Amino acid sequence: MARIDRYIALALLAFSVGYGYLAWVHPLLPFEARMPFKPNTMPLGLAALGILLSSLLLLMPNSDDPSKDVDGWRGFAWKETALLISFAIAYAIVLRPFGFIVSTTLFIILSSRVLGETNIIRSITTGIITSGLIWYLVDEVLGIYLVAMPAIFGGSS
Amino acid sequence: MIEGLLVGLQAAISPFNILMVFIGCFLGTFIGMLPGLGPMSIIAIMIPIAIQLGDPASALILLSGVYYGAIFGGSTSSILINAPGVAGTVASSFDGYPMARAGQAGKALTIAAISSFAGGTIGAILLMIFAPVLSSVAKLFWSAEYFSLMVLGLTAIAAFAGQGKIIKAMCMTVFGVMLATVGESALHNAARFTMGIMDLQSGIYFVTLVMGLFALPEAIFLILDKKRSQAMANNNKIENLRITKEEAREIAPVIGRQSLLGFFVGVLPGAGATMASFLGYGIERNLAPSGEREKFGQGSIRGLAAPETANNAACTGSFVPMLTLGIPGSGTTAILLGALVALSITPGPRLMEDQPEVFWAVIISMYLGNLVLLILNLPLIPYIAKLLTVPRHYLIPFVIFFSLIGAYIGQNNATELLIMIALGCMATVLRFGGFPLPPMIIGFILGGMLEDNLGRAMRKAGGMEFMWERPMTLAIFVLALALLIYPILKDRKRPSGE
Repeated sequence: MARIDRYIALALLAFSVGYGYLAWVHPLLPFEARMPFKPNTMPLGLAALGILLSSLLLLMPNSDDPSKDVDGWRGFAWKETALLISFAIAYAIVLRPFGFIVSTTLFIILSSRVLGETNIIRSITTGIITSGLIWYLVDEVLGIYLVAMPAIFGGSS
Repeated sequence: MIEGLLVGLQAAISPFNILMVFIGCFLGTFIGMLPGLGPMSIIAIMIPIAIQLGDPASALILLSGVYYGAIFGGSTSSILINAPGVAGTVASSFDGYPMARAGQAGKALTIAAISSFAGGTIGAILLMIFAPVLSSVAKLFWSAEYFSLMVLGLTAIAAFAGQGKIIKAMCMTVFGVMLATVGESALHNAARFTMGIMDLQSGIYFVTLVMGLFALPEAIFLILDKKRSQAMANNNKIENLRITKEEAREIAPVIGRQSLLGFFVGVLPGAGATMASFLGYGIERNLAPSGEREKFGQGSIRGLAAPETANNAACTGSFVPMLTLGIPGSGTTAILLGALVALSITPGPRLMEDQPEVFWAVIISMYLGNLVLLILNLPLIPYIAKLLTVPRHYLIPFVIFFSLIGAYIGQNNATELLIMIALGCMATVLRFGGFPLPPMIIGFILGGMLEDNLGRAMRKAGGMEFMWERPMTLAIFVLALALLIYPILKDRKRPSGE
């Protein structure tokens, strides 16, 4: 079976081809077309390099281990990982409408529960304290605006 | 130089900046102990906060403190639980962890703190002496030379290319430069490769990229591989912090040698702390008397002092090309370079003349940072280790949360978070495939400057003639080519199966 780095090389090759196409069709202004250095000069060179290098990866025999991070595919917590990534995506989506404190608290409670926290009171307390402290530090102390609460409770997005 | 030092002292020794050093070292040490948050991630988290400070000197002082703190923090988790968060502290675990297992965790942490202090401080003295020299040489550089220097900087990726990985590292570099071309460039106003996404108009935010490439994949690996995080549950005895006179005498020459070696290795773009720590470990192992040599890997104090000193001296050394030439010597300084740009500071030979207070304040902050680290860490060692007992079910959500919020507060834009998560998933897959990620960030950071200087040089020369018109440009290109080709030839010569 082909190794994962071959698939990645194939994806990089496809990306380079797509990138090169977009660079090729990039609209140039009349004066830009006559210049020695155009907006697509370097991207076209990069696309050519990308195609060359990813093709080399595909064609050359591999001599190294695919990764030191992987002992084997079995025994990995795929379900937990998928859930945590879903929570992160949901967090990104609800951060503005729900406000920082509500969405962060929910993120920490749900994530800690999925990862094995059994005490709901402890996870709620940790979530509220963390979100409250960080919001205070970022918004009040450092002056970086963060919507604290949902719009219906007076927050604005 | 004395005048510069006084300017730096004036800028750095203000109550506010001293407070910044303390806060930076403190936060860096604590957060740096958490796997997944190496100096690169922590600095990336702190950049939006540093930018908000307004004063570039204060911001860089805070970031330098965070940098040194994070390096020491990383060594702590490396020694206590054999979990080096970053490549630069891997060598510290070779002898630090066996010492900790043998009930000498306190002594190991003390040796690490003293070696780090010595390496960092001697490195700062060398930086003070050599930075101005390199800076005056750098003034001879035009945009053609800058472009060739950027290409030379890109060859730094060879250091991240392990056996047989040079093509992968080159691929990642090209990919990083491609990402840097998204949005508007310095020379052209029309946005490129945005796919109609308005948020990409001004390009990919580098904190988003750094978080996506480093912190998030580490968190994903902690979830995927439970063994990786379960090691954190181990309790280690942290008693007996003192080192004897004999031990001090034994490590003193090691510290002296490795400070020099580490600094000069750190100055070479791309060599960095990882190479310095492994080199230092190997050299000291070879120099040790035969009885001592066998102790390496079993809990040798020389084996711990060597990489710790070299690592810190190299970190200071990597500031030389960053401050004087605008070339990042390591992944971390690549991020710091991005911070400099975000603070409206143009890194390069003019920095010393245009903003001497910033340049010298950073150097002074290095002395302060190292001193503060020692003062903070020695009494705190027993307490610092308690942080490692944060349960996995809170540690991972915190790592993800801090990554997300680090990207969010910089841009106040939720799309950045989605881009970051996508990058994080992509980076995880790349790590599975054994693709080194630091070259991508180096490519991304240098990409913008590379295109800018290439454009200027080509417009001036009317084409690619600039590459051979001036001897200095040609010489740098030849050097860059040699540095790229050498690892490929070495790979080909190595017998298969080795």
